[in-house]
Amino acid sequence: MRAAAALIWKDVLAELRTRELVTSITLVAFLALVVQGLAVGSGPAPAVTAAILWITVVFAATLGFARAQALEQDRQAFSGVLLTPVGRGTLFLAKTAANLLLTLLVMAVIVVAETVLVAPDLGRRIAAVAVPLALGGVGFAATGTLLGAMAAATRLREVLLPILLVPVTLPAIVVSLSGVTAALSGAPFASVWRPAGFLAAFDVIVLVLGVWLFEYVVDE
Amino acid sequence: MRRSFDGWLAWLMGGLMLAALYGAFVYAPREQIMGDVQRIFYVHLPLAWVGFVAFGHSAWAAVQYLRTGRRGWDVASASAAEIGVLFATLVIITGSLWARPVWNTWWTWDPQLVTYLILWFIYAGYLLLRAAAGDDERQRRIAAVFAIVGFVDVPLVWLSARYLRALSPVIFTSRSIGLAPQMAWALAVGLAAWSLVYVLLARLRIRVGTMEADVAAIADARVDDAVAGRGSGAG
Repeated sequence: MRAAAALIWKDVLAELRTRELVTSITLVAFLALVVQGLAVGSGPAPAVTAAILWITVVFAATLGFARAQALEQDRQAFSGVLLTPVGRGTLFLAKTAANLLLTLLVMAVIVVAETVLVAPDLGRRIAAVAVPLALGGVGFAATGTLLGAMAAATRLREVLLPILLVPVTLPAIVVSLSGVTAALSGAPFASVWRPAGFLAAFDVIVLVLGVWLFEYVVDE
Repeated sequence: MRRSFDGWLAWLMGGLMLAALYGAFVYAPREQIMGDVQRIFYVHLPLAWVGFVAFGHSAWAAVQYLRTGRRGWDVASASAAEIGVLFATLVIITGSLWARPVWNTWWTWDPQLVTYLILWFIYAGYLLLRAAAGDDERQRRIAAVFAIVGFVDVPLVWLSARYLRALSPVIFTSRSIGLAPQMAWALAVGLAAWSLVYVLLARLRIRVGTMEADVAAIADARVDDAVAGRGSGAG
């Protein structure tokens, strides 16, 4: 537990020193949002609002995961991490937590920006929207951590990550989209919670897979 | 000996395939609503089922590879995934051909079609991953991990596709049709024929893959010998 906390703190500290990753990813998200906002105009239908939200998250977070992994590869920093006496499962959970922090931060920025620029409804219903969005984010970050380490070990690196990550996480994205859309249309609580159950199950499955398989991916 | 067994399998497959064609075009009655178009079902559904089996085979071989580290399992996993992608492609094409006359559109966001489209993307990604990865032990492990993750994703993809209707309730489609006994027989023979196609293709592909691995090993050994020979000559 303390080892995991130390690993997470290492990533947070590295980011606090440079602020490189968060700044660049947030700007990318903003740009993507502006392009989509210009295309659909103000006050789009709930399904469109949800789609813009997730498209932007996928775009920005995937770039973020790839960059975070590239930072670890730089001067073989990750080899040092692998030499520490920490179980690979713990390592996976710590890297996932760091990626999740990044994802949630990007999501928060996008929600605020989308509320101001495109869809005022999003801010008004944020309490209901947050549940399917955040649960989808957990599965996305966990899968991104496992597949990010895989993609970094190949010749194609960053290019390969979205090709692997988006299809595998599509179930979570689709269900989260349906939950966010339901929340935005003011649907009864039950229709927001039904997707939440699926998303929680997806998160648990991906976390278990990651804890089991991460050692096969990272060990030289 | 092995070759003659494959030859025998090929003959059996040919015979069953002819029977399946007869079953689909002659023996099975004309479907009342969709008419003759529905006959593509006797190809589409077996392809879809055998495609699932191929992806399952790939994941199972991947688990065995991670457990034992034996090269043969890696070759089997890659071969099964390759054939699975071929079958998934055919499923999407036949599904689209079927959708055109029945729903008047080449594509609908029907859960079955969407499931297969996502599976196609996952395993096309797997083939790309294998192509981009080098041929060492770690890369093979990475490919095996992705084959397992992809297959665990299959039921999740299928379940999540059910939520699509809530998302875009444009076209409500159902392909469940009551099967007359002759239809069920035509389907069963089609399933047997396509299963044999899979078995035969997988056996041939695995044999080619094993040969490729052997050739690579021989080439590596020769390079090692050459390096060692030069080293001792210089010393």
